[in-house]
Amino acid sequence: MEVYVTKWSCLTLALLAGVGCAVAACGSDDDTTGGGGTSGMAAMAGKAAAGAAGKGTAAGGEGGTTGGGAGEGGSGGESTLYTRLGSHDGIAAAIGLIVTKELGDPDIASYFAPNLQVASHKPQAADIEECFTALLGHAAGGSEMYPMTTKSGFVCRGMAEAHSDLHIGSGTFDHFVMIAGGVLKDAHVSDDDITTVAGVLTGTKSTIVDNAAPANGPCIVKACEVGEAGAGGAGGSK
Amino acid sequence: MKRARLLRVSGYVASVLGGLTLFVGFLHTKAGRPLLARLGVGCPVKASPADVEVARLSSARALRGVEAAASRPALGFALDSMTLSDVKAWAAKHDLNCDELRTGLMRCTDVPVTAFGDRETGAPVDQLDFGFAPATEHLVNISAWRHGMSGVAAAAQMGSIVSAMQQQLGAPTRQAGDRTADYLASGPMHTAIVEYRFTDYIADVSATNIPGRGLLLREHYMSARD
Repeated sequence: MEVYVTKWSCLTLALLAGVGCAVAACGSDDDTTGGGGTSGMAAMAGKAAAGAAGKGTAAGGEGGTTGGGAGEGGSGGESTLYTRLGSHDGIAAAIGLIVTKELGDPDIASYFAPNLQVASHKPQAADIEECFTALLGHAAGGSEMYPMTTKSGFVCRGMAEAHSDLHIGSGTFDHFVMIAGGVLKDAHVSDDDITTVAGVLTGTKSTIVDNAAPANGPCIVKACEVGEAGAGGAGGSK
Repeated sequence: MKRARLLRVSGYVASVLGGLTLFVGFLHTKAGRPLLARLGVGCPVKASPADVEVARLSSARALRGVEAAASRPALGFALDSMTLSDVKAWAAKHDLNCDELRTGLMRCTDVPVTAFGDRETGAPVDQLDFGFAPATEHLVNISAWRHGMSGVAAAAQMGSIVSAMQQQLGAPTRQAGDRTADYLASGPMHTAIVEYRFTDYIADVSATNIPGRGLLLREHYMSARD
């Protein structure tokens, strides 16, 4: 009987420990938000800002010096969209800046915020950047493959799968495209190239937008309350 | 004998359940969540208004400039000092259609420009979003959207807004694109953008020809203070 009691005591303790552990771990996310989310975004923003500042390499630029350098109407005879956008690094920098600017919009930020909370949640901002970069690089004629696996091991998903739970409205989508277009324009990417890039984005509209959803956010659906398997951007956990 | 066997089995079951419970508990820890994610299960984490504010601040810190703004024009609203109550009072005064969509975000629709002051002219704002810092309820973010504009209307509206800002702030920090009606209307994604960047204030005014939607005009005013 003593053994019986001891084992059940252990079970009770284990249950309490397990539940407590789960609650504490999930509950502690708010405390760790600033750390994980901020540092991740700061790193990304820093990279994006650095890319934007170096106009030669970030998404084209005014008379760029390193392969990109689209400049307005600056496409050379041998250049491709991929090289005019600054190849992989230029595209990555532009994507970083686009995400940074999108986060300034309270509507759009609500779709991203779950991904910025805890460093262990997937996809992280860096994963979203990598997925977008691969998507755009692939579409622009680069050697990038999409879908792909990010450095952290996250597998980018198809557009429809990644966004289906978010119920994004058409207005939010258009606003996203507009802000992205502004970043490219500001980086002096040519109109033709912006149109091509926007075409990549708008070409996914029918698979991303939920026509039954309100035209504009913020995101209030369940998926935006789930960090790891649901919200945001170009990918999600598989 | 039977009782002893029952106890032994119960002990095994209890041990297994206990172990599983500990494992599930571990999956929800910081160390275990990556494994949980690989299993395709989400740890329920709510994106609170505070998280949206963290995202906004990260954006502001990355984009802000190096000098303080002489003034911080924002459609007549005072960033970092007006509160949700103040904006609600403004909306009530002008009999506007507004909703608090979630804590920290209030949206007004179809706002006539007269609501921003007697001297304002032009097309109504289709969507006006106010963002508030959840900790203080101070106004920190404003986005004003006009949709489906013609090239002429967008160019005129943008010209008026930029002219007023230049009077208060001087030359823009950055600008790109052609703000003429012909250019804006003549092709998809044709864009004009004007940006101001200060240590405590960020403002963007942009017009873009969105395929299928006509010209969208966006005014964005944001506090860049920590």
